[in-house]
Amino acid sequence: METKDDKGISRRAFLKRSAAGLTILTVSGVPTLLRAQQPSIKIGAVIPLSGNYGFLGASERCGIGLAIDEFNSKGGLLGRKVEVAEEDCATDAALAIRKAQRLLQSEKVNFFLNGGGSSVSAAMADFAKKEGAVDMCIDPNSDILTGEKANRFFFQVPPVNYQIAHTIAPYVAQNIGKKWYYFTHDYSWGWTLTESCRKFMKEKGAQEVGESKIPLNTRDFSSFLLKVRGAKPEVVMVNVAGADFTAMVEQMYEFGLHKTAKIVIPLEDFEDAWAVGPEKNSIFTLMGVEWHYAIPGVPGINEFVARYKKLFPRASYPVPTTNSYNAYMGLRELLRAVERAGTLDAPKVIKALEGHAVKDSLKRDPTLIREWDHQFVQDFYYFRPKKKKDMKDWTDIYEYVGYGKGTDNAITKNLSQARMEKLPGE
Amino acid sequence: MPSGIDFLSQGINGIVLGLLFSLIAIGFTLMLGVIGIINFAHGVLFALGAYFAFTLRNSLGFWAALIISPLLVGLIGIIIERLAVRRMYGKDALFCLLLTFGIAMSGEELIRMVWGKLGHSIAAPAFVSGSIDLGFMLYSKYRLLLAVLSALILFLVWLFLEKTSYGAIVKAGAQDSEMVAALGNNISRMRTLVFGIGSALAGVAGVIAAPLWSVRPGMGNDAIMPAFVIVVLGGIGSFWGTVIGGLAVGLSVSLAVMFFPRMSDLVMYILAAVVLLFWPRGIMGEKSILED
Repeated sequence: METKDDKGISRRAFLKRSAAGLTILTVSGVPTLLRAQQPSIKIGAVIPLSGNYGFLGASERCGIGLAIDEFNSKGGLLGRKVEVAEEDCATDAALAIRKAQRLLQSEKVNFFLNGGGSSVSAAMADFAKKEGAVDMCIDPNSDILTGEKANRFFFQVPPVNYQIAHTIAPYVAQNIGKKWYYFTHDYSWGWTLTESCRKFMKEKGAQEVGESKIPLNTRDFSSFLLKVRGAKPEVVMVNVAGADFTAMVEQMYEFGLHKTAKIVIPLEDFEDAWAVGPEKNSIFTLMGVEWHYAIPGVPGINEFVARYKKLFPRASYPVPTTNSYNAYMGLRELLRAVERAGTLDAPKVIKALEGHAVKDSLKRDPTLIREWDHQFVQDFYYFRPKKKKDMKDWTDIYEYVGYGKGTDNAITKNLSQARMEKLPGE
Repeated sequence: MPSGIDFLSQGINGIVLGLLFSLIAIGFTLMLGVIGIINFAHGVLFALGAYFAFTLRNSLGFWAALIISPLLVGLIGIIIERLAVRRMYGKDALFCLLLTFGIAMSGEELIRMVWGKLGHSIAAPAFVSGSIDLGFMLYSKYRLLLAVLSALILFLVWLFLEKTSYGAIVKAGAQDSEMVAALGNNISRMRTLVFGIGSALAGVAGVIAAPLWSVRPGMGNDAIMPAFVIVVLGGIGSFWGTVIGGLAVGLSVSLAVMFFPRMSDLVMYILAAVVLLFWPRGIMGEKSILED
């Protein structure tokens, strides 16, 4: 016998309608609603927004934004939105660790990205290992990051100094000059770059005629420039970066150093080159560059630049820089690894990253995420200053010369100090 | 071992650098010695001078920028003094230090908002672009101009302090402001003027330094520490102490590069520490606000 409630609907009819309604909701809307309530996947970005490398953060923000947009615009990752929690490390290792700790404890971030120079990243490598959190290092190039600091939780996106020197130094010795003077930034990155250049310089029969170690935050280089003249070098290798570098270029130009020696910078950031302007940047004979927005013959690069311009029409830099690229590539590959692993579990994500070949690397050759030191093994390029008449705008200051493959020039396992630990459960 | 030519080259360069350091520090010492405040906003006023020059250089040229930028910075200094700093007179020096530190932080952010994060290059005037052969060394023509300009501006400040009646009042105000006020002088206006002059001097140093060190939002930090060290080294409030302190720092930095390049950034602090061991008030200093 059917019973009816006060509004005239029988219990059976009510149950049928409820079941039908539940089915419809289950099939259509509810999972979406539930998914929407799931917490976002949070990336803790400890990047430099002030200090000697403060300008890098502006580029890195754009790269991070591009990667996040790529996933969120197709519905997120594992059904969850991806978002970034950003902190300024101010190029200070101790501060970076305090900020990372806060991001982990208060913001509950799932993964980290870090930049801000090698001292910050060396500290972040230890932090990642201690906390068991995956960290993608997106701007420094010191060899210790894939050597003594290498660990299973830490991934090095940009090429390190050994590879940079291995690409640039033989070319310089064979094509530019044999008597070299070094300006070395007096910290881990500068030391290791000069040390690596020295090794390949000697192998190619060039000789060193002097070195000046430049303290961090030096503003006046006049005394150093007077000193270098006495050594009568053919080539001056400038292993100096950041705001110190821009001040140094101003003064090299002022003292006319380029009239008495060829000046080479094994690694230059676009931001630095643009800051000094095309005329002063033309004192260089050769510049090493990690990536360029107009490398000839690379598929996908124009679309990448177009997406950047569309997403950031008012960015500080109108085209993506190497630092935007590294931030984008590091985060994109991390998120793709999460997708492949189907989980946020750090050991599984690490295994999805290790040994993975990135075919759409936006470089000439695929990039390999090497298993035994976590280096993104990739091409490295060298350019010369473009002639003024050929420049389309103020950003267009480089002319492509050539490149070296990462697989030919990156450090080999027998020379590396990387000693990877086992992950839990291995 | 460096040769005699090396010593001569680095010595000349040290004097030029020292004149620039003295110019950076002279506004700072005026404010500290006369008004008795430690103006941590000195660096950001230096940066503003450079940024105004960056804006004006292309349209009006270097010489117009050299005159207009310091005037604008001086005006900003007067506004800062009238709106904020004057409320701290007579209170613990720490309050003013914190206030000016806050002004420096917000000023730097304001620079980022107006001119962006990217650094900029300023070209030296065409007639001093490049280097000159002095026979024993090639030297930057702009630095020679910088030395002349710095020496001229320091001389003008000295003339103002020593040879004008208002300068005499300013100096007397530094010794005993109550007595100066009792004699019918407007001490409040004098303080505003000194703050304005000190700010303009920071601005002119920024304009002159800009073609050398490039223009960046954080460039004020490059000025504030050397200024503080030079003033302490030379003696609080002493004009000649500041000039001597600036030259000593310039020479020591330059000569250190010959022997210990890695120490070149530390040498000014070591020099200050050694001097203070023997002359606790600096080379030409007298009792100051730092001892209250």
